[in-house]
Amino acid sequence: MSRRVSPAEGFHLDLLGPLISEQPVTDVPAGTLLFTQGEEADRFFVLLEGRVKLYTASPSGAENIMQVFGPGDFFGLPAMLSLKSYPVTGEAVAASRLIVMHRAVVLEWLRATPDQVPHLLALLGRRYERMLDSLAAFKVLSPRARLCRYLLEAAAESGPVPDAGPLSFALPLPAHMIGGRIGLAPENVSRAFRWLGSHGVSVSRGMVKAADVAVFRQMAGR
Amino acid sequence: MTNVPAKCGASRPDAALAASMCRHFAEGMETVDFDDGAILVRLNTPVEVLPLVLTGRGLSLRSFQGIDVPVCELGPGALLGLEGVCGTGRHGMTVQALGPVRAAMVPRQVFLDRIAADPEAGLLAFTVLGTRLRACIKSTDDLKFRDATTRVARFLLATLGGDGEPSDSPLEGRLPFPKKTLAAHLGITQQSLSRVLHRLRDVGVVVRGSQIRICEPARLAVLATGEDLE
Repeated sequence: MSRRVSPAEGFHLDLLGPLISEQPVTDVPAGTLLFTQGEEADRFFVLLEGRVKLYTASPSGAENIMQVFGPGDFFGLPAMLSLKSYPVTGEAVAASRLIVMHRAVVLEWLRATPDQVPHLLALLGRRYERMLDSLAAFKVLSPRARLCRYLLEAAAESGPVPDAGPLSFALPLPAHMIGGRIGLAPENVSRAFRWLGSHGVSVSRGMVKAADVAVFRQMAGR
Repeated sequence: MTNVPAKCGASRPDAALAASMCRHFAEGMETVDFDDGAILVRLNTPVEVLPLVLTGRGLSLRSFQGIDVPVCELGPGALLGLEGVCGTGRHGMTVQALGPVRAAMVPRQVFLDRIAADPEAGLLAFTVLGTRLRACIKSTDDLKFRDATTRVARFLLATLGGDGEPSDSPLEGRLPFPKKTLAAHLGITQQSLSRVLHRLRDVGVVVRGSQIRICEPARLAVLATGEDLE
């Protein structure tokens, strides 16, 4: 299904606004593969609604989830501009509404408006630094510490996180996807949640309740 | 200091990219030679000059919880400070020379003027950042999907043998950085690294200090293929 996006839809990527305003909007159901690892990178995506995960897969099918994007994010641009193929697979994990931009259109826009290049470089630079942080965390932290770090980030998505005291928040991802994000097999995620139970943390029906959020900070080394 | 011609000393598969970077950004710039171990750029300092690596390699380090964690190696064509020059205005990592490094020093304003005047130069900068993002993805894959032995085997082969097919002839060389740094780079403890190197004796890997010899690269290459752990 396809229609035009209107400026009233609250899209907040001002930078890409002029480029995407005339582009058709596409709705896809959860589970739709938007592109696959190794496929020619000839388009990028702006996500208006829903969630999309980018991941690589091991030969046995285990997923390494690099990013989970939400409304207002864009993805596939670095691959489209700089690599011949997508280094990851993109899949909608919820019903999603997005705009698909093709290479020729973007290149024409960039050549016509070179003043936009520094802004895009700044966005990609920040994304690169976040990836460096994730990589460093992966090298330094134990799996449990990575889980606590992830939980702190998830809590911060839903509001301010105090230094100490009780806290409850909704998990943004199901357990198996959290495992793919932090490099734990699903059964080990369950085991780690049980272990957190002995530290005053309960996880039930996607809700996390911590008697003292300082536990996460201590475990994650923050 | 000398002026650099539009030519780079890259020898890896990304040589074409490095040559393009030199053509667009290095011409006419001053060059600086850095000694082994010298710091080319330091994390969180303002990006006033972007060193463009012409020859040699550097190790990038990201500070995490007060530890300088090695995150990736950078070779010819790497423009240091690219991640921050248009955004934060600060370097996003520290880069230390692994052996002698020659770099063309590109002033920030020169970089900005060139990408404003020439869209192809801007697209090239995207390409370099994209290549680094892809390297991050590969490193994360290695950490999540490969065991410590496979990671060490792959590192040794890449360091001593380059990216080509493993030969039948022995390979010999030096570790590019101390074992402590190597362990951190591979995401394992020093004890684990020692255990793995000890185990690799069985496939003909001999380590004496920083000197390393791979007697049968093809055997090590089989090990480096690795088995999926999941």
